[in-house]
Amino acid sequence: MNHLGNFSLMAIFVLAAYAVAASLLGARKGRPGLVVSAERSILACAALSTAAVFSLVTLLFRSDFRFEYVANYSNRDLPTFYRIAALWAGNDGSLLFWSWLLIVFSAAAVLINRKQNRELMPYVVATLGVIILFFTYMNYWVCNPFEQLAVVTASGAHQVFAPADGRGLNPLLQHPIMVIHPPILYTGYVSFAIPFAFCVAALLSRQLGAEWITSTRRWTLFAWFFLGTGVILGGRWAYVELGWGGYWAWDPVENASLMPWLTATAYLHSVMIQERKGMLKVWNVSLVITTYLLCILGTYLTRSGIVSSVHAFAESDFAKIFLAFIIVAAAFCAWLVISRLPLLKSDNELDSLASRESSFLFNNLLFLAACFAVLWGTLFPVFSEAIQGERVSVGPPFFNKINVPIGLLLLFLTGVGPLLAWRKSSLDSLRRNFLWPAASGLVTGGVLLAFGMRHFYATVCYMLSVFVVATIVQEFHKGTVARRLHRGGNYLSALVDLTLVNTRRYGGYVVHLGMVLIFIGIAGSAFNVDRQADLLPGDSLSVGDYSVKLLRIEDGKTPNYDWVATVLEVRKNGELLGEYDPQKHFYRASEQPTSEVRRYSTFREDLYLVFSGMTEEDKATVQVYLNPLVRWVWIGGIVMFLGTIVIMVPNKRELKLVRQREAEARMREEKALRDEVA
Amino acid sequence: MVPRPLLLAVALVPLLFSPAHPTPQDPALEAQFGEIADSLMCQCGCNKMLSICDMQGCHSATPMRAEIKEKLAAGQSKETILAGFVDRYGLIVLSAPPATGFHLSAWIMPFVALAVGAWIAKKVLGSWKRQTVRSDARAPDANISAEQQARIERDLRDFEA
Repeated sequence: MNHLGNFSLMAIFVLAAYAVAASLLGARKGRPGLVVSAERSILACAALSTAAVFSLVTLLFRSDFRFEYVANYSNRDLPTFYRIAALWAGNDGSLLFWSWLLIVFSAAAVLINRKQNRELMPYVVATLGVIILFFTYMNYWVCNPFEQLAVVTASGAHQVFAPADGRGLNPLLQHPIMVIHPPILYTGYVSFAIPFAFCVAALLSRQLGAEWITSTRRWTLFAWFFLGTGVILGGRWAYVELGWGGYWAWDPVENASLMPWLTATAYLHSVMIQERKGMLKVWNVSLVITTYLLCILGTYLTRSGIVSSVHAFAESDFAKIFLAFIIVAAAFCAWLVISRLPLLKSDNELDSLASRESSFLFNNLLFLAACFAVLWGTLFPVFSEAIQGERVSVGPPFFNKINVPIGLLLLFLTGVGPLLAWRKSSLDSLRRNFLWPAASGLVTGGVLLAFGMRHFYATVCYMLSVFVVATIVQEFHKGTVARRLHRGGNYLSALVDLTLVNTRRYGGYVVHLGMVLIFIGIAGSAFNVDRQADLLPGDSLSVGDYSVKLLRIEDGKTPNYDWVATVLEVRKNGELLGEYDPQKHFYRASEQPTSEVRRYSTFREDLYLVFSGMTEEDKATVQVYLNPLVRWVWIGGIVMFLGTIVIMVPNKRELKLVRQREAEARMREEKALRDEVA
Repeated sequence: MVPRPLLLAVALVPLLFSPAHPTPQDPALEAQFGEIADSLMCQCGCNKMLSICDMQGCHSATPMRAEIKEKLAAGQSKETILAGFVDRYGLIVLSAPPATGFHLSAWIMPFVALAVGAWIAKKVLGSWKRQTVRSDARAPDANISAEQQARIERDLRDFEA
């Protein structure tokens, strides 16, 4: 299978090089045949890349330990389910998986645009071809997952050998979420390449009208949706698998996924200004480019090891080549944008500062500031080591202090934006729109203070959350009432109809609602408490209203790991809730232990139970966390997911326009035919 | 008698074992312990704060936690305890850079960037506004009546709803 894998990689490299050359030549010389052949090369790359992934998966399923990757990331007793996850467990395999997604999405973009955007497509294919070339180069020459284990014999020959068993998959990755989280996250990261390619194509071809934005808006939304879902799933995995009671630790891997999500969110707002008013053209191309470069930078930061130590850079070819690619791509894009500035002139007109345009501009500013703070904090240890010669740590206290105020300002604008009209809001309309939401927020603050809440940021967050929810409810209600006035019908059907007429707007509100729920859950962490105790059977510890009693200790074996569990009886205010058995697993192949937490989860709080281990006095160390409102983070994620689906449903208004245009085109054709006959 | 599960654990999970660690019972000391543990990074390579490194028997977190508890019990302040760890491990042991000297830039740069961004946004909005005033002055229909203007505004509002 290694022959198939390596042959496929080599063939992809050649075909991608051909696609770049043929598409550019075809566009320059006006030869559509060459462009079509370039597009077909991309389709062939997709088939070959699928074959390469298939061959690595087959090697993993066959436990063919002659291959270094298979020996390093799987073992004979690894359940079938997790053999798939081994594909992205290591750098080489995950890069192959990344390339496969990139090529498949490129092929999808080619197929979707067979009959449209013909002026842009040669440059789109060329841009995607260059990216494919780079990743295939890395996969074949720098981190090839098809390398075989070999020893040098006395005669100097290389002899392939296979160990009896592999080193196994990292136990932390042996969790169902880890089978879906990386593919979803990678889908988000990689599919940003398509809007990026369209943007570069528009700049190269000087076709900087609205077409490239219209063509890529859904791709951007798709990528943003998957990246966001991947981030939420990553948090969920950290919460249920890592056993430290939280879901976000601001580590470089998490930060890498958050940065492009922030810039993409900024773009999804600012693109509306370009569509409506022809403004912010330079800004929007810059955001699309930045988002994709941040995707590449993120994968570089997490794979090169540079964040752990600046010395990793000097030791790694991978780090140097990857960094060179990022610098060249950034320099090329900067030159491209600067050279096209005269073509990106906007119809910059603003009727009033109290308008949705200006609120979007400030929301973009805050998204960018949050992104910069995360990037700066992630890279600061590298700067400190390079400049001062002393490494520092930048952990959660730094990121929380900087990003919490920015996040709250964003939450405020989430409420303010929809209340401001496009162009101009009169004082009267401002008063009318803000009255109830602002009053709701203030009343919430008063109630929370009266009930003794003294945490400043949490109180502000809950006030703003209620304010934003009130604006969303008000927007839906006003729209529904207006709809009923025009069309009649009952309230529910009018509400559904309203949403379908403008899915982008009302789906957007649902996404905002999801975001508010996430903020509510995050603010709950200000009130987390935890206790740890060393218990003998019969001993108890209490946290808040809960008491946890150790009943007994159990143990067992599976083919993959040994386990020890503490069976705990949990009561709330004396009422029995049940028995919970947090466990410790010890994976034999990798010789690593993991914690398997147990939770009693409600809408109000999570009781999070961890069995940390045994003391020398044969006591079980049990850690109990009481995490208020954490469930709302996951519910918020689901609501955002649903809201994005609503946005993706074509607008009734859009569909009407499409049908109208089709009818007009038919009429024109018929007229032309009649004229010809006459 | 040691129960069978524990024997199995002794045989198979040596990493699980560690010395017992008394938890401070005084709520004020407990709160101080939490603050200090949040201000320090575990040095085992897990890249986590000392308060959340969950590896039982961790060769770094376990003695660090025990030392903090001992020093708190001996009446040492948070600052003295942190300074002791910095002397031993360097600044890398702190979970956030100190707000002094070169490292102050870590804290102020994001806000400098935000301030510069806000200044640029203000300039941009100002230039758009000026441009609008100029184009309004040039507009041939600038003299429409108040009634017409109100009607346009109303229609636009209805359209956007």
